[in-house]
This record gives sequence, C-alpha cells and structure tokens, in this order.
Amino acid sequence: MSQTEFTGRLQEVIHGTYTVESLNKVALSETDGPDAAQLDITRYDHTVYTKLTDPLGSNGTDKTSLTCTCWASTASYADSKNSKIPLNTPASTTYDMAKGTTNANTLTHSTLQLTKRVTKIPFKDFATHELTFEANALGTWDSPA
Amino acid sequence: MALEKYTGKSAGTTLDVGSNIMPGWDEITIEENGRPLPATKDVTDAEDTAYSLVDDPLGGDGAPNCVLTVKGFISVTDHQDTNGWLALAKGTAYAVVVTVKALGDTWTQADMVFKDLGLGAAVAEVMPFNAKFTHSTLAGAWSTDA
Repeated sequence: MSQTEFTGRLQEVIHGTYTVESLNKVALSETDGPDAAQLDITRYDHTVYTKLTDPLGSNGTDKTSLTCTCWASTASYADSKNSKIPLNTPASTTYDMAKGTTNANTLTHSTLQLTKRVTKIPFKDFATHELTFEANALGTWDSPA
Repeated sequence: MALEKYTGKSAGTTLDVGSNIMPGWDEITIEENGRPLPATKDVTDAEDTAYSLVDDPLGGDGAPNCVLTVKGFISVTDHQDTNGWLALAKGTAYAVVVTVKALGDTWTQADMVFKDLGLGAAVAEVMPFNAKFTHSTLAGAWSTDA
C-alpha cells in the first residue's frame, strides 16, 4: 500500500464516558512482561557455569501506560471534562489514531485507570493537563479490515 | 467544543493560601496522584507449570496524594507583607484554592502542608522561589460543573 503518514490531528481518546478534550500529544507504552530469568544450576563438578531458562517462564505481567497531554480550555469548567475524570476508576478506554477515518488503528483496553493528573498553569503560556492512564495488562489493537 | 486556549495571563488565575491571595507567582503545577496500581503477587505453587500471578486482592498499597508547586519571584519588600510568601510557616497546613479563571475550574485542598519555599538567592538579578505544598493522603478536588 502507499504509506499514509500519521499526523495526530484527528486522534481521539475516550475513557469511560469521558472524551479527553483538546489533545495535543498522546504517548502510549505497551510493555511485555520480563523475559524468563536465567537460572544458575551450576554444580560443583562443572568447569563452566550452566544456565537454564526458567521453566516456569516469565515472572511478571504486561503493562500499559497511556499519557495524554491536553490544552486546558478557558471554558473547561462548563465543559466538565479533563479535570473531572476520577482517579483510580478503571474504565473501558479507546485510543483512535484517526477518528472518522476508515480502517484507522484503534486500541481498546477494558481496565485502564487514571493514576495521575498534572495541571500546569503558567503565567503567560497555555495551561495543560497531563493525564496518565495505567493498567497491569495489555490492550487490544483492532483487527485488520 | 470550540477550543478556547487558556492562558494564565488573560484568565485572572488566583492562588489563595489560607486567607491570603499569594503574589508573584509565575507557574502553578498541580500534581494529583492516584493510588498505585495493585502489585502483582506471585502465587505459584509446586504443581504449576508456569508462574501464577494475581493482582493484590487488597488493591494498591498506598494512598492518593497531591503536590502543588508554585514558581515565582519574591518581592524585596516581602518581609513587610504579612500576607506574602515569607509569612508562611513550614510544616503548617493551609487551605489552598487555585482558581484557574474567574468562571473556570477551581482546585481545592483544605489541608496542604507548606513544605519548602525553595528560595534561590540571586546576587544580581531577581530572586526566584519554588514553593512546594503537599498532602499525603488526598488528591484534592476540582469544582463541580455549573
């Protein structure tokens, strides 16, 4: 196919009943659990170390972190959005790379929760909300059409 | 909605600490932290063929908290100002209200402990401060909608 570059202009994040407003930047981290550890099973009569990959596999879980940087609106009080999303409330969350675009990539996660909200109010520049959603599991990208 | 971008300069933001409106601020940062995610507990037993992990059934081991950081510049006459930054007592809890705009969001936390003024003693130019308030068990609250 011909490459369609991603611009971020139409991306959308919906968390439960809240649509994250005035998105400026989205950072998504999907991290696999740790590799299986190498167990040292060297015996006294060995002349070199003997290693065994942990037969139980990886001891850890996958993680997802979605960080949204958003402009704060002068009218956000009436709009009731980014400052009102509750902390520690897992909700189904979707990240759409290009809202309204056919076959746009969409990530769905059923249990992301807001764990951190940082609001910066500078004297003369634009105020921002930085929202961090996290979960101990991976989400799912939509299947190819 | 049509986005109206917010600027601190035009929006009339105020920072109230106790009963005083604080002067000289340049940037306010409100950091609200939720409870940490539940730790993953290893419940693997001898019969398991792979690690068996469960989220801590007690939930996240910690509490929400918040940190308010205020950067700004101190006045040379602050020692005469009973309402200024130098009048705040370290380790004392103050009610803090950040009014983002006259008709906009208001963030409130009734017991923010003043931890540090973070004064940078400049020789030849202005004197900046980097004040920090914390609450160890609550995250503060935003105003409800109109």
